[in-house]
Amino acid sequence: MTRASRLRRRTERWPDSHERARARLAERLDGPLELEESTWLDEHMTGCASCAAVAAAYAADRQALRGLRDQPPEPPRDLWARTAAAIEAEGGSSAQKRDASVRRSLPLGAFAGVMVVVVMVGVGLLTANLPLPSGGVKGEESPTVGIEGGASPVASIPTIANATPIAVDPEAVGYVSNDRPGTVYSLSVDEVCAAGDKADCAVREGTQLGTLFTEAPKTILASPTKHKAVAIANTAAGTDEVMVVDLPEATERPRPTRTPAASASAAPTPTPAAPTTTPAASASSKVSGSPEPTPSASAATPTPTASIASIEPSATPSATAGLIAIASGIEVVGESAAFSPDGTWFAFTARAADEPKGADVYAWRVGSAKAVRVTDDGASYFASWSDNDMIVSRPTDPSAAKSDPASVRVDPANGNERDAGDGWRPAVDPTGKRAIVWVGTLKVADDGSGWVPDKGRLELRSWSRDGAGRSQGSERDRVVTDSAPRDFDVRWDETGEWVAVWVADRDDTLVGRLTLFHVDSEKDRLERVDGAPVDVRALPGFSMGDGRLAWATPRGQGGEGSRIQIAAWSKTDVGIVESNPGEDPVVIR
Amino acid sequence: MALDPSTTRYRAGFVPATALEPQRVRAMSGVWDRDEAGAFIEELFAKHHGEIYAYLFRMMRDAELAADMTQDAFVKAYKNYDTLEKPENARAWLYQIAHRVALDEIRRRKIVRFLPWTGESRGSAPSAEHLVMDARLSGDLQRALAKIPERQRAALLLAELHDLTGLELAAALGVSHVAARALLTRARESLRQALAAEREADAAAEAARDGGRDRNRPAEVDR
Repeated sequence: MTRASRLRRRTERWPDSHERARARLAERLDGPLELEESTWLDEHMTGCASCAAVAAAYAADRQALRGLRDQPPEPPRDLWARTAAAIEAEGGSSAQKRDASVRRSLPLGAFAGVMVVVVMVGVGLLTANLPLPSGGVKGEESPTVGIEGGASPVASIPTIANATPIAVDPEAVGYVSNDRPGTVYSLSVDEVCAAGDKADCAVREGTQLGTLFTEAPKTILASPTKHKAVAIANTAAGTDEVMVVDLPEATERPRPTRTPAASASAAPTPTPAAPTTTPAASASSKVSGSPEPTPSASAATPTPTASIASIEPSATPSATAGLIAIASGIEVVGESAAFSPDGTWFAFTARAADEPKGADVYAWRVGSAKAVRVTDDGASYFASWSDNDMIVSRPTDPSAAKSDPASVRVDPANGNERDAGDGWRPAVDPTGKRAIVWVGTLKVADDGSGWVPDKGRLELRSWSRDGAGRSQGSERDRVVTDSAPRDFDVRWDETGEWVAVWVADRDDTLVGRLTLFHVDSEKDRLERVDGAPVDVRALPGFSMGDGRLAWATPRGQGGEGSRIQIAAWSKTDVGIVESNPGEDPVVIR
Repeated sequence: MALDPSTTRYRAGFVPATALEPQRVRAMSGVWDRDEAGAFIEELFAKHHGEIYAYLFRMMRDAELAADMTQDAFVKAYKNYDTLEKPENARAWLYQIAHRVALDEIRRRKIVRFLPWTGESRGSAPSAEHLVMDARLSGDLQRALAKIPERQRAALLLAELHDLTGLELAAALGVSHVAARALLTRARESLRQALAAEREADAAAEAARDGGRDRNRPAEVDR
């Protein structure tokens, strides 16, 4: 016997001989025991029925495991092509190049239909400033927090004993879900749980605010004041409609809504809000100086949510009070649509459905009747807002199959353009000093649907009125991805210190990976903070700001619904909470 | 708002840290021959990608994810070509890389509290093969495997399904020979207990189907 094994044995203290026997039985499956142990085990086994049962179980489990061999999973056929391309992207050998072009791409299912964009006005929506009890004390009931179907009384403190929640500024996230079709919910978060801790935050349940749609739209973006939102919905005609809607106001909700009974009674009809009083009050506090039109139309409607709820997005929304269609018969492209920082404009990219033209940029002045097409070259893509100018990107050679990109700064009021460098779809931060931008070449998507990145990198660059410049950070501190994404979506928070990047999956733009970065402004680099989401699977369309990043997860296995997950940060920590699974939730951005 | 660097915990570097990371610098600096490495990895891929993919699929229960991770593993192998000491160790070395890729992904998923390894498929319909596979894997064994600690799961899969033994198994798991064997022993006991628990839960669910709902797993309560 070796010295090592003597030492080992001496330290082994078996609580009982059966446990020792179990360990030896398992061990024996993988090789002979030392003689002494083997002898002991054989002796023990002669008088131990339960040990014999364990031995039989081990043998049966092994057989079952080995049974899995009969059906080895089959790797996808293009795996080498993908791998070779990735190796090549590493600066790899030319040996791989022959296969690199085989990468598969699937049709852009999401963009195939035509969409209607609707703006809703009237009810005061949601995201960031969903009111929490002001000066709310921890432990005071929170209107939006519940667990397990709201059956148990829940304070804002998770009920799991060993949770070590991180307190964050109380803010709520809004979303539309088909739990009750087209209904707006808010999810208030004032603490989150650290990643890596085994601690478990209570699963959150959203609070219903009102029903705006007959079903959840594809995309919904709140204006900076959070009172209005633009919704993009696919109509029965197969086109998209862009609509303006009013968001329901969370403040108006009676405080003690934790009981299921209360929420059930509130459900079918819009929340028992008193739209006549509170909107005015909140309007004075939040919208003062806002360029948004005063909701005269909705004010005339006693219960704006009710009228909105009755609207079918696929019907004729423009005819309905409270819902204004600002564009229809188009196909909205990509995920970059956004309000300008001052809330006076809304820009998006779309293709006209009735002519074989490519993508152009549309701008809607808040309060006007219709969105206006600002470009007409059929290859222009809205990238982001910089100050209150639109940054628009396009290929320099739109007639070719591959091209370099160029960006321009466009005044939405008159369409005047000036050069803004050679990056593709720069997402400019609120300080105007940095942008995350595709630096590289473009190609026409395999399905011919438009221009997508080809070779290059999505990375952090310095930004000026002349466009993207150099960044001092090293490559590894600024590159988000160097594999060409089919689509991406970059959103900064209002401080410019945090940025979230969603990158569509290679084959399916309806799912992607989301990462939250902290930006070191001195060193110009992207930092992944411990506990922040990194490459988590997320549906397109996330909300960012007010110390929060919220997204919807893909539907789980076994038909489990999507969840809303929220990462929130304090000055020192980042943590996460999530909602119960729901039906097709769409985060209000 | 400013982060205070003295109290904020940063994850090192931009790329998820792996033990292999330092070699990347050497790869970038061209210490080894890229074409040689590329040809070698291509050959390794041809020989072993099926089993590496199968291992990752079995660990993660997600076909698309397993494909991504297989790709990732071979790219890492390419970048770390110089860490392979003897060509005859290539298979275990590949498994070691794949194993790290898997642990890394699992760690990330724990951070965001995704449901573990239940194989949500990414929108696309599962293939017939996978349906067959799922049928075979589904049920108690699959759930039990998903519940035991990932290192134990890895040890069991590698030993029972991928024929790694002794030093190879230890190398793939990145632990000593003694530790690998101990891990495997613990894994067998964990699986036995997990399977027993699954069967009990099945029986209880059966009984509850008549009686009422409730399965003290709140997040899974029927909506």
